[in-house]
Amino acid sequence: MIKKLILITIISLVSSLSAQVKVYKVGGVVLEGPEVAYKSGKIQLKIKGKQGSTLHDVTQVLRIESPMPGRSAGMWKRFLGGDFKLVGGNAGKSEEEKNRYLGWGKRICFSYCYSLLKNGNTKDSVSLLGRAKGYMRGNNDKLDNQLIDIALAYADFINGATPRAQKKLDLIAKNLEPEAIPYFYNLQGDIFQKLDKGSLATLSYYKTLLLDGASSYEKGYAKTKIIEIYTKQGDTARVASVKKL
Amino acid sequence: MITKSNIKPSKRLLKVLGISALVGTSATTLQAQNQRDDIALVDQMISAKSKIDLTKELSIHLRLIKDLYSPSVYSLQDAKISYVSGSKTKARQAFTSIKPTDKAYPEMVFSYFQYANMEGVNDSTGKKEAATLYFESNLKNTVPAQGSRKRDVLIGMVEVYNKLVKSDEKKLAELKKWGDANGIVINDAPPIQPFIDANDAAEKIVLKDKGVDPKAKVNVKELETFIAAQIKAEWEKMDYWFFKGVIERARAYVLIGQEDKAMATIDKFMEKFLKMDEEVKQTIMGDDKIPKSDKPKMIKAASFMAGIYYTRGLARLIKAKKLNKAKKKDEAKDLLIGRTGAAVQFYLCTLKNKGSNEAFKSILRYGDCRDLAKKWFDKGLKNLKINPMEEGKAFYSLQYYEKALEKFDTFKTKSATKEGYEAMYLAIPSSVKSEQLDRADEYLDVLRDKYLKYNKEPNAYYTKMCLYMSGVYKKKMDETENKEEKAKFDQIRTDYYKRTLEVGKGNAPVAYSLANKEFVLTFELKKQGKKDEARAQYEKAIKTYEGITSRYPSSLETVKSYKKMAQLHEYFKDFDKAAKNYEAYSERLATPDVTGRIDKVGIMFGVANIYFQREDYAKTSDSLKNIKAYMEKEDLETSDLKQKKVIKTLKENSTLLSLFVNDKLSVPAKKELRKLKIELKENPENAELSAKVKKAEKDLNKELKAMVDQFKSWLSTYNSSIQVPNVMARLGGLYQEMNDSNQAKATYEKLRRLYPDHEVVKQISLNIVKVHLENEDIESAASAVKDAKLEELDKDSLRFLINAFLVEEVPADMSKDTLKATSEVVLRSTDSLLKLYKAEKADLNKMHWAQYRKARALYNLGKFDQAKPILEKAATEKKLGPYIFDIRFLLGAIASQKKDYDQVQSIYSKLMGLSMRMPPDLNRTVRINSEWSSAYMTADNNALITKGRNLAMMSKDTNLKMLDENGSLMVQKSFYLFIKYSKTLGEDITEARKEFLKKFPTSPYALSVRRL
Repeated sequence: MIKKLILITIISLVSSLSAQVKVYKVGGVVLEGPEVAYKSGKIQLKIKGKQGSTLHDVTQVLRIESPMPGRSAGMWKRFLGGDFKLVGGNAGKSEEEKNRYLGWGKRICFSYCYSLLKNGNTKDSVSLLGRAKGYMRGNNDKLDNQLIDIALAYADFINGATPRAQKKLDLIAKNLEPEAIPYFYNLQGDIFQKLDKGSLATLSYYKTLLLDGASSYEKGYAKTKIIEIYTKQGDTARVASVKKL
Repeated sequence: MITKSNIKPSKRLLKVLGISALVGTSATTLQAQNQRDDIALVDQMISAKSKIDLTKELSIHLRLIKDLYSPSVYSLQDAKISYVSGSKTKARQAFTSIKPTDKAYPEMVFSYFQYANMEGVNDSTGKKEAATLYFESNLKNTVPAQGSRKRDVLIGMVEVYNKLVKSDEKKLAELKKWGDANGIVINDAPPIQPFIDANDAAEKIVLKDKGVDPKAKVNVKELETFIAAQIKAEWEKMDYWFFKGVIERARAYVLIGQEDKAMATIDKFMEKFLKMDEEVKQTIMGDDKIPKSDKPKMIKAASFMAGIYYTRGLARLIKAKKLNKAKKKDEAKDLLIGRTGAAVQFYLCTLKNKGSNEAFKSILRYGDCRDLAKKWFDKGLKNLKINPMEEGKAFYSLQYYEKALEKFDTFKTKSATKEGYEAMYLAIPSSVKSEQLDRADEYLDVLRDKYLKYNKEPNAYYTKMCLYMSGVYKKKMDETENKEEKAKFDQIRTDYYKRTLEVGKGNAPVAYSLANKEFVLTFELKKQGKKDEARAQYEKAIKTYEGITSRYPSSLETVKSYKKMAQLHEYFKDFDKAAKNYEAYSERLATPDVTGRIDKVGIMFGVANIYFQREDYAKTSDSLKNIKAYMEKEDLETSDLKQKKVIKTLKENSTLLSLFVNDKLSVPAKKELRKLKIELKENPENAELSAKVKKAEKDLNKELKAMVDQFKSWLSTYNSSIQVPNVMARLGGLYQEMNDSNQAKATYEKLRRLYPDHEVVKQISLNIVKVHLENEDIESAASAVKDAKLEELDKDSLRFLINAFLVEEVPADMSKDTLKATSEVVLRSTDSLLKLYKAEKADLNKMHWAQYRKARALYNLGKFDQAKPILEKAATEKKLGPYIFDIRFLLGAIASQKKDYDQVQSIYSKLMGLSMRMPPDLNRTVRINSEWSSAYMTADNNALITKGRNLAMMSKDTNLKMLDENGSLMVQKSFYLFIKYSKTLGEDITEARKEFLKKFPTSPYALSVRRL
């Protein structure tokens, strides 16, 4: 009994409260439940309207669709606001570890690793990102994978491997998911700027700034970079105009 | 011929290179691409237009789109940008260039409508066209989902298309059917509209409104038919439109003279009108989409009372007119201005039903009542409780433009207000439409002078109206067949266009388009041979372009202006300015893609080439270094074959130009060595000088060896270039300079073997002569000719020698020996050439060309008696031949040498007479004066010297801009002669000398002037 209680406590720590969770299994079976949790290689799905839950070997689960867990959502919000210190710290690391097999793992991993990169830690970031594509697939796997690719490209860029970074961007460019736009185009802008192609860099940053979906941090970043380029070009009139955007 | 300034190598080769290098075509780029985002960026940049001017970015982005995507995607984006830039026609053309079979066609139709409907664009033609494209194609079978952007656009299209097809029953029925099938409500056009139109037309006739034919009669039958149909409708459907129809029925009764019936009709339905008003009120109040503040106005405007007041007023006005005609003054007065008279009805309508169509018309009719009250009873009416602005707008909307203008005009002298601003804005189209075009300027001036400081966007209305007026005159220009009128209207329209530049930040595209007009005109004038006008226009265009670059430094137009200025300067041979502008253009030229980068290299090469032609080898060298650095830094990789070829040519030509520049840069060292050698010859014992010579020789040899290596390296890299023979010939020349005759011989033999038919092969024997000429070593060149077998040379080679060695004006620093050596070359060459000409029985012109040059050589050698008969024979053989002036000038010079001044007088006065019979040519006149003047150089008689001085004075101040290069040289000569004669006559020449040297510091006569 005590063992069972401890188990429940542990599970509840890593569980995801959800009104609607869908677990897609090998063989086309789709199971639904209000909550999902992970423990020792097993995915635990609560049974709708009942007390119990069902356990599924993680190798038998293809994808989990669920709303982002509360804590992760909070962390993601901080990430969008540019709080890389927090997200790239222990709190972010713990969140990344907890979610690996619950559908949001890739996204959380991206936010953690991207923050590590922003904090200058490329080594840990690259090693983690290298594994992240193997995490459980979630609501939008295409987007998650693109974000991981962008973060890897960003790491290449920081490490000076600009052509490799560009190659990674080229591979995903044509079918870019809208939510990946700001990260993609800010990096593309950085690459152009490094190559001394100010006009092209500006266009990329404008994509982040003007197209829908960018976070406040990414928009701010794009704006700062555009101002930087205009200032370099001595175009003070437009520096003032961009500030108003 | 040789003068001090023109001993230079042929630039033909490099000119050819320059042109070929400037060819550019399109290419792809390696930039990551996402069509959705690229298209969305265009939309977003356009929508951000009010906050930031992204014209430059849009332009770069558009080029990227052109490279990355299909032509239709490009056209689509180009069309959007054209719309927001104000080029409606271009936008429409770009949109409709996309064919129905194209994938982008559906998006095009929606975007077309969306942009045509955009605030600030509002292009009704475009909207109609886009809507028609949707509804009259299979596209209508694809209805966008609720809530999508396209769905919103579609609703707009429905509205426009509905209006468009309202008179086409078939299309209207199809539209309704489509609407029913897709759950989209098609608003019926008011079913009573034809009835309203018929009543309006009749009303104008009855009340004898302005512009209506006084003999026109009301179509009573038509109105009766409408009345009957309306009565019949009472049994079918009693809705809002039915009751509106009742009002029209009453109005029709009034207009066919049955006022009582009209009033009875209104009375009959009065209760229902009120009930209906209440229902309309409830509907409006309950509609959440209507802003609260607008609701009371809408209720007033929609009320049936508007029509009732108006119809009552109309009935009483018409009746009053009849009674007054029948001399029933009191009754007429009561009906017109009594307590319930016409004036009161109209007054109430304007007051209580503001915003309705009837309220607008009531303003007009109240005005009629006021006029009649004054005329019939000398009574005034109180003013309507509306301001002149509302009145003006009412008249404007009813197309009573003259009356509207009267009202708007009242704001002209008032203090600045928001209403006044709008009044001035509306006064301009009112002036145009009431055919008072000349008044438009008054209002434009007020907009500019009074309202600039009061508005956030001061130039908005002003600019808009300037462009509007420009459009009015453009239409007039297009319509007229009269050439003079056409030119006049074109001028006026341009002036209006220009006025937009006077205010605020102005408008870079407008300024640029004006400058381009001047640009085109400049070239046209030049082509027509109107030199002076072309030059004036050129200066004007440059000024306008310079205005753009200083006023809008970060605009795209500035970048383009630099290129245009460069082209103009190049055309007018101001190569320094051309180069500077090309440089400015290439510095600012955005290089988003490989095509742009290759274009830029082309422009940079053009700059280097110009400097080379200007013989500014240091600058040429700098430009070439810039090209090299740019080509190393930028990615010029492309898979496009044409572009690959262009970049290859550019590389090849820039390295070749670099070789020639290095060659030219070594000339001063060679000259220095020659000078030292001459000095050493005079002082053979001078050990220091001897050491100097040895060192200079060693240095030069080292330099020449390095050059040989560079030439060889170029030949091995570009072994298939068409320039190989020229480069090999130069290499051979270098070996000859280094006295390495074995290598020189080997190089020439190889050249002969590989390119037996090439032009340079034919002239190998002259190669060393050319080398010396290029090194500006005329003495060595002449000496080298001695070794050549002239009788074996072909005509081209002989002509080359004659041109290269002929001395027409002896430079001040040319020694007698040099003159002798060069003249002997000319003499030998002309003899050989004349033999060939005789053998082939060449025409007289060719013969005289050679004979004149032979005579000139004889003259330079002091053999006047041999020269004279040659010239006299030529002058008799063809009295008006192309060389007659040259021949006679030389005869004059011989007469001068023989001090036969009567002969001089005779020759030149005859020439003057001949010149006067020919079409005027300032260059010729200046030359005659100058040559005539110089004929008195040998005179020792003061009268003759004074004559020479006066002749020189006549030409020395001629405007140089009107002359060609030779003419300009003659002016310098005249000035020099003037100073010389003045000195001989004992006059103070200090100022004149100073003026000459200031004006012509590099003139070939500068040295002679200094020596005076």
